[in-house]
Amino acid sequence: MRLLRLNKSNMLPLSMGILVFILWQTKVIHALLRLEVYQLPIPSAIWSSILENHKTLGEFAKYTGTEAILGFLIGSLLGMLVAVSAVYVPKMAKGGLTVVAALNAVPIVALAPIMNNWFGDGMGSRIGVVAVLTMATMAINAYKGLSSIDPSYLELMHASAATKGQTFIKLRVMHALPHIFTALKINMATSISGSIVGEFFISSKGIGYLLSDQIKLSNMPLSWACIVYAAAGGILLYYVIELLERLFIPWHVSRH
Amino acid sequence: MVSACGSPKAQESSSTAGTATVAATTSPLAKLKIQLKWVPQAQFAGYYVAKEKGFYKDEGIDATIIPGGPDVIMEQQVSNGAADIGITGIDSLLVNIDNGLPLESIAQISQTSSNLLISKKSSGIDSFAKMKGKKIGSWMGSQQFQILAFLEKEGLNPKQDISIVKQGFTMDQFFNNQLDVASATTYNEYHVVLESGIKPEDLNVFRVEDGGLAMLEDAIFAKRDWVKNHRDLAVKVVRATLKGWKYAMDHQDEAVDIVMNNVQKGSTTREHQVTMLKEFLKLVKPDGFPADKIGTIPEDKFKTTADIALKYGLIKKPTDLTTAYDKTIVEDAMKSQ
Amino acid sequence: MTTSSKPTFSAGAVFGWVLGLILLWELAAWAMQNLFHVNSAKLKLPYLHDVLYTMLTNIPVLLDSGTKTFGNALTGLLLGSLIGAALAFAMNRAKSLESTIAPYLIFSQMVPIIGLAPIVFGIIHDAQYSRIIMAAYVTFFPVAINTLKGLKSIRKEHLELMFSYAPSRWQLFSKLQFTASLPDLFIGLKLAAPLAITSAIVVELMGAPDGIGVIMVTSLYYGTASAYMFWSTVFTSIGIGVLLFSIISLLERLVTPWQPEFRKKGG
Repeated sequence: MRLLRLNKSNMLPLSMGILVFILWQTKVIHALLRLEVYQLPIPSAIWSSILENHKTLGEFAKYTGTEAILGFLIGSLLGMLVAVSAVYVPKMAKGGLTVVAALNAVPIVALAPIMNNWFGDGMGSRIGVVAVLTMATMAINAYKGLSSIDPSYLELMHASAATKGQTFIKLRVMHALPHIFTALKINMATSISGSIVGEFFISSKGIGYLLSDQIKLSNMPLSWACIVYAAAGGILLYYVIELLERLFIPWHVSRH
Repeated sequence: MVSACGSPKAQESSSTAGTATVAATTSPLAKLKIQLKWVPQAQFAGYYVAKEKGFYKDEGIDATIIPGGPDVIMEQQVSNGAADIGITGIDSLLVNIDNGLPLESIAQISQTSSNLLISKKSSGIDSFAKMKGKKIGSWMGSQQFQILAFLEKEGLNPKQDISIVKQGFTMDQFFNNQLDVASATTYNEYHVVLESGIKPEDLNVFRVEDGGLAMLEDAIFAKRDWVKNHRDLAVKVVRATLKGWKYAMDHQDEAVDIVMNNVQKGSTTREHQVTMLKEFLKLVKPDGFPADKIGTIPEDKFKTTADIALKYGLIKKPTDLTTAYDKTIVEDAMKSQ
Repeated sequence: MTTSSKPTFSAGAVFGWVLGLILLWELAAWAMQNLFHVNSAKLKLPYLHDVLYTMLTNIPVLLDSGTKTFGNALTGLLLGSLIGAALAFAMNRAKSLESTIAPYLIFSQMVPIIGLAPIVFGIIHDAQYSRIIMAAYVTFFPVAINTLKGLKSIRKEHLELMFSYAPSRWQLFSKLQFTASLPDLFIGLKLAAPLAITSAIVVELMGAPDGIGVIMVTSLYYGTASAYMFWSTVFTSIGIGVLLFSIISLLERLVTPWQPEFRKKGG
């Protein structure tokens, strides 16, 4: 997806966005879905709220963003480690994959209070939550990429007397890169929503904190301002990863 | 005979919308949904008792009690028709009204505040002055404002001396010393602390009600249009509810039994609910308050609540006291007793 | 020379892992309480045997709620997967569709359910259906993304081979695209499964009458007295998650046995 050039592939999402925007602002959507403004605020109200609160929003966005990125990095790294060891020490590590997948099944409703008990109400809690949530995705995807190699390729590597290290890098890792990038894209979404939802529980700062607080007061414009900031952060990160993907695996079929 | 409600929302064909029939004794019962403020517990004994003992049925109402939870916004559930009436604190109601929700209070269940500020004696925080700069826990949303008012009255500067930290719905932060001063209700958290092994002698307790600047809590509210179009039903449901509360007051044991049938199994004990009921009833009928007047909306306290809300920025516009509550509903409910 | 990585599901290995973890846990709990005198150690990391005892004495409640949550999660997962897979196929068919909605799909995942709730409730008015829709909302994205990737990864040679047979649209779909996308669809499902459980529990916080999430919240709320119950629900939800994950893995093995990691291999 070419970002900055306004060409055919950009026109479509852009025009759809503009259409939706117009329908939203003029409350056609409200009429169609029979919603009130106090359930879904209109863009102009959201914009005023952003202008009014941009200082707090900016500060909180940085706070939450840090939590998300740090958790994302830690989780993805750990997930990779588990995947790699599952490939090379299969007897031990297959169990590890199951454990990691099980961790993923701990709902955030339980994870957040547990992390809060250990790390208090600061960033540590959310980084912990995000790390746990992103580990499994990376582990599963990376493992699939590293292990789903066609045997004929492995035989080819043997035939060329490749060392374990060369097999790893040139075959397994390269083959796994598309899977890893898929995991990164999913993890990016998870890390943002994870840090935001984590803040719903016990936090005194952050976009999630502000969102959960304001929505209970039915202050929809400010709540949606938070959502806008979160979405902006998410889309930004997604395109960063897309860019990286294009750099690292330009040959992959799915890039065409 | 189904009467259409005024608000367009209620004309949905969805079976859960609050279409109501004004019931004669032989007509089908009017379906009515009550949205609680939190999970089922003794704090809501009156409603469960009224349902169990048939008080709602006597008034021609088929009541469904919907539990609340951490992410339920009662005001929105009532506004979007998922419930017909709900229970909320007036502080929360006022800010929702301020943000456009067309709601009003029709009965005031708890007359005094349950809010306590507690600290461990070991922390040395035994006076308001010592709270300066310390981490004071509050459930936030709308609930930190009476604490601000209370502390300012006691000499602290809200902008400089008071550091309010979000408290979850558990007391874990208090146990972990992540908070210096914690919020607690007289009917729940205080006893959660005692049940954890901390003794009353180990605690400093400050009652927000003592400052005279408490904000009103549990009240029954509904959409203004709904009340206008279903006035009879509103009066009936309030009457049955108050009867339920009175019964609970006179038959606490039985009331706790009813509550225990409705709590989430495994998460609480009967003793805890017994204490909760006892303490909560003290709020419904404080010392010296006439039993036949429970549910009345105390207009002076309502005004205080609204003033604090405006002063400390919970609401942006002054509350229109003529539309925020309708005291005639309770008055009519009490007439036919 | 060859790493004999016979990918058999070594029950023994998993058992060993679990045993090791249990021991580590009990040791840590003991250390926290008796060695380091950590504040509220009982809350932070209770003794496993205490939690297990609570679980055993509360089996009816946990089973009942667990089943309800599992049922809701499954419904949400099915709905979400159907939507996700359909979206992926549609996007693969029409590149214009993909570029039109892709940014909005990503945007959709940024909106936490709590922001969606007023809108969904406002449109649907029914609490139960709203909860299912929100659960599906969370699960469609991983399935869509992975299935789409799978469809796109179909090798050109395979496509060309298919085209040389002049297949109908349906044949193309059923004989190549559907089958080729299955492995990635299953990845999506495996990722969506725990999400489905999580979201089923999260939406229970919005006033559901029962379910594991409700017990979780109430046991937290009532404090130390029910701390073990809280941990019991944590384990129960892990159990449900692992169950769902295992079912999907089993299904995957049955439906796509040709995948390399299910075959015997060397190296």
